[in-house]
Amino acid sequence: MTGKFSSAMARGLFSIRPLVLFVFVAVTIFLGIQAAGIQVNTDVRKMVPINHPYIQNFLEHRNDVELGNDVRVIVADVSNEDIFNEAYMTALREITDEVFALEGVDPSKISSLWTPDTRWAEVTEDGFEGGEIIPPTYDGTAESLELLRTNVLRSRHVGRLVADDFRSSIVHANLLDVLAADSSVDIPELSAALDDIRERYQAQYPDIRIHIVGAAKMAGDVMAAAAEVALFFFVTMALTALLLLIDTRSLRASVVVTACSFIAVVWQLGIVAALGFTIDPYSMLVPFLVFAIAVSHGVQVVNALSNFAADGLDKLGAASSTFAALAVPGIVALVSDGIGFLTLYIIEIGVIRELAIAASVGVAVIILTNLVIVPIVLSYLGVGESAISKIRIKRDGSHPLANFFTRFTRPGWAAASILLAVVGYAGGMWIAKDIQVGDLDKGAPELWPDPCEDMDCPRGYIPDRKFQYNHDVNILVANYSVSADVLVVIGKTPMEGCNSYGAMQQIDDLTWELQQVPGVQDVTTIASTAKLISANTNEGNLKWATISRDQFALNNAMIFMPDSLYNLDCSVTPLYVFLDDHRAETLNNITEAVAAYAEKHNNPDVIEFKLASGNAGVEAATNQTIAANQYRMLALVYGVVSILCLIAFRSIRAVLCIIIPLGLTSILCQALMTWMGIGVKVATLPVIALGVGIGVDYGIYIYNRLASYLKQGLPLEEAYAETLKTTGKAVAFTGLALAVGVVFWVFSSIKFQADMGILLTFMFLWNMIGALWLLPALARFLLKPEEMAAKAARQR
Amino acid sequence: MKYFFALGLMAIFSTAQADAVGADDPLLRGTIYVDIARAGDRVVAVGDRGHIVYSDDEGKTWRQGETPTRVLLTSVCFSDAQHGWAVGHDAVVLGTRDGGQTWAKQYSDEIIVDAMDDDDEYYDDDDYYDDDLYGDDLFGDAGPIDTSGAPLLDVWCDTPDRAVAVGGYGYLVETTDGGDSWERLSGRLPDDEGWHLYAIAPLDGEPNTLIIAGERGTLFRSRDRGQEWERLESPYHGTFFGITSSDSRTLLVHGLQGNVWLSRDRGDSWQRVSSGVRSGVNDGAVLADGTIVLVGNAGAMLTSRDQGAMLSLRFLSGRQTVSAVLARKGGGVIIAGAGGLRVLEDVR
Repeated sequence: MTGKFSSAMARGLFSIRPLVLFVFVAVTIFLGIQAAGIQVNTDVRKMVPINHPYIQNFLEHRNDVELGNDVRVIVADVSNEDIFNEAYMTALREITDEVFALEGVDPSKISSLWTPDTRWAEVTEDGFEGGEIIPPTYDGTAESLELLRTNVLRSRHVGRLVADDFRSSIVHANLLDVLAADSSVDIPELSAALDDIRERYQAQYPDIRIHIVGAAKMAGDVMAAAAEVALFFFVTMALTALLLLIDTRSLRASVVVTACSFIAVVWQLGIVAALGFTIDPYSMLVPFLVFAIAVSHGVQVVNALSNFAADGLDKLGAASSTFAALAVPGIVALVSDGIGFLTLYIIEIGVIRELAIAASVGVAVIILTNLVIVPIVLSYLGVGESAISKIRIKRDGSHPLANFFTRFTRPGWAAASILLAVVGYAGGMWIAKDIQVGDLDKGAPELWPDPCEDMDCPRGYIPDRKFQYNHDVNILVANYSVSADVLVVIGKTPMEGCNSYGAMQQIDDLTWELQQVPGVQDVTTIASTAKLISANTNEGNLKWATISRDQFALNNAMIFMPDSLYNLDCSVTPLYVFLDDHRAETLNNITEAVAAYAEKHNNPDVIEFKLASGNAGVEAATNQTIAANQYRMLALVYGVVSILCLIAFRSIRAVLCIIIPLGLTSILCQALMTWMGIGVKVATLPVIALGVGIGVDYGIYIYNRLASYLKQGLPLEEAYAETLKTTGKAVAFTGLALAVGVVFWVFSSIKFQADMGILLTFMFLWNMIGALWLLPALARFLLKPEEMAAKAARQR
Repeated sequence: MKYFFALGLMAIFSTAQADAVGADDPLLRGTIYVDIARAGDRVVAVGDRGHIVYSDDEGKTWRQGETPTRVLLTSVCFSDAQHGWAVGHDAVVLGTRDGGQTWAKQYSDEIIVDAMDDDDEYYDDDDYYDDDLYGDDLFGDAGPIDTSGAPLLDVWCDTPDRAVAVGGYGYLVETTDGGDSWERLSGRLPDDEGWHLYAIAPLDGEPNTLIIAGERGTLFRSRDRGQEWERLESPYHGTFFGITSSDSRTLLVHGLQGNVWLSRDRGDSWQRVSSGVRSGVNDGAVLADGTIVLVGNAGAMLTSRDQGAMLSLRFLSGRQTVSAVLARKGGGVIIAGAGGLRVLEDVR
């Protein structure tokens, strides 16, 4: 493949080495400045499939429907019998005041036992009697605490603001609109402020624990944890450099490759920042990938350069030859990577799209930083004698690993390997057929599950930081009549029509249908609430718990209707569907039931039901977006990679040799996900594309070298043995380097980053094994060495 | 499996018996149940959306009966194991002759929605809680009161041929031909002011003595099985929701604000029994050992082992409103209410 074009380019570039280096340094400085200014994403809209109809409906009505855009601060007493003691009430008042003053909280929508909107009421002979929960006469004495207890008992706040076991209560705050384009809510800041309240009050009041639940807090925790990834990056960099040194025995080369790879990351971040993109917990992966891919290409360069040097070429000659030899396979591999990553762009979720672009930019810059600059720098420095002598020693001896893999070119071993691969394909597909879309765990899937699910935690248990959020969610769900998973169906009616008898009947019908869907705990709607209001206004008697045919009675009921169940002009009424969990199956059942009902009964003159809002609604939209695109994306990435290989090697047989091992890795990865209970989701879908994109490198390098030996007329086994000595070693090293690059993600505070780490580590290692083991076996049956040699001879 | 059960319940109205479901099924916990009655060895419950369910194992599993209505049913009663009635809103009366499996509509008095004046009367009205439709004309001189759309709130069945139902705005209907025809009995009650009538029940052991209780402390008594009625002196001016009697010397009426009143002389004189609650007391049952169990709003459960002289209070977990209670054979009770249907093995 050392074609004329590559040689010409090598001569050209190497004749202007100083200029190239100067430009490179200048660009690096410029992009470094850009990269330093990169922003962390705080825009929630980028995390949702913004063009999905559910999200569009949800955005259209976001001023009319409460979005679950709230934060609940649970203040728990962990020492006393219940919360009715002076110290607790004092702490609660102070915490209420603190939350009230937080930036981003809507001060008109905050409730706790201490806020004046929290009242009790009871039915008497003369109508209603009621008052504030905390009596105006409250002074912390035993009598006033006793009156407070009585008021709580006769209020409807038990299970809502006060826990069922009376050992905690909630400060409930609504946030200003975080989905507005001009939203002023700074989520990381708000989250940090809430954590600060938690720490201060837990320190000041030893009997008190604070648990904070809300989508904004969860997003804040994820954003905060993302920063720790920087630490992983430097560990990865140090380890990779060490691996390089062991492998090449050349300090110079190790430093140059590490530095250039780091510069590739700087370029990538700089370009991305200049394009106006941000980084987020999902695209945090990209710098690691770029670094690892850059190192792997750098290794190929150092490896080839040492070989040429061992052949006796001088520094410049070796470097120039290296560039000429690697330009085509390197560029093909990197372009395949880049286009493979770009296929992620078909998924209309902001963070995935930005990840796709960032990763593509990253691999594109590697062409310059590692394929061009590393050889140029090394043309000045050389790789050093120890590296060259190591190569010479290796060449004469036979490497045990090389011996091991060479045997797969023998017909018997090859046949057995292919049989094994077929079994792998079949078994993998069998397991992977149960793969789930979406999240399978309870609580917020982005973060680690509550350890208290598996063990008995004492009252007042303080979990490790990374478990805190889901622990808090469990505390909420266990002690209050609320579910953390809510799907909101939007009911759209004509103006002033949300409480018409016809609309109410339709809502009641749908409520009943939804109640029968598995996974639904409860459904709260304007209809279900109107029934209870009807009972309450009839002296609390359930015999009146019905939707009156009398419109005046329905209008009367609106006086008691919570704001969250209708909008200002009574044209939108949300149906809150509380769920056991947010597993894809649960969500599918509900969205299908709603869609089927809407199909049959939607009538613009009465009511139209639209999906969906609430955290579960967003999750459902995300799942559908991913489910609809995951096979399209796989087809696209494999198609692109195949075509690029076909263009580069002009042989369908070559394409098969490269793609079949890759496919096996993809299928086994899906099987692994199924087995480990990792669903296909925003965090894991990119991994599949990235795995294919990177995996193809191995195949391309090995095939390229193997073909060049075959064209020289070597028999397959010998050709492969030679390949292993040169490129094969580099491939093995690359697999390790890449795996090292991501394996530390397992320790991330963010659960999905850990999932990504596990899957990428698996794919990087297994792609390497697939290329070293299965590719030669396939070559045995697919390639015709004699023809290739003959053809090559004719061309010469 | 539950899903298919539920689907089955929706679909299999044509088959003789639907599949039985347990207490966690949405049919039972997703519906408000308002009343329960015994039909021989069977227990039948009625409630929201016209739901009627029956159980042949004392409340462990339930099957859904086939009903021709979707309105809220408020009361159910059986004269024997086969013959029974259920009543509800729109003054609907349903009858069954097969122990509650299938029901037929025998009477209803629906409000005519289109005929209503649709102007903004409500916005001009200072008293939002007043019920405009019925309230305005009640004492006026605009001729006969239109009480169509009033709900029936309780039904008492005497024999397979005769039953009497009472309801909102003094509604009173009777059948004497097994439900083939129902007759409005306007004017049967003396000095009737049109208050809601919540309960009709006989004195235990004295089936000729009937009591009706309702709003504004309304109490009527009949000594001849409901032909002639007299107004009783009421000890209370609030609403009575229920009547519970464990023998001829024990008559309890109960209602708003934890009011429980006891009469040892068939309603001639009354004494208040302290309940310890301030929420409504809705219904009562008498267990095999004579224990009286009263239930009410906020999950309040009151028990008496001394013919109603003293009540002890407990709250059921969840504190959901309980609308009806029925003694189980073999101990405990079945309760119906906002939380659906539940079996309580132990009432203590």
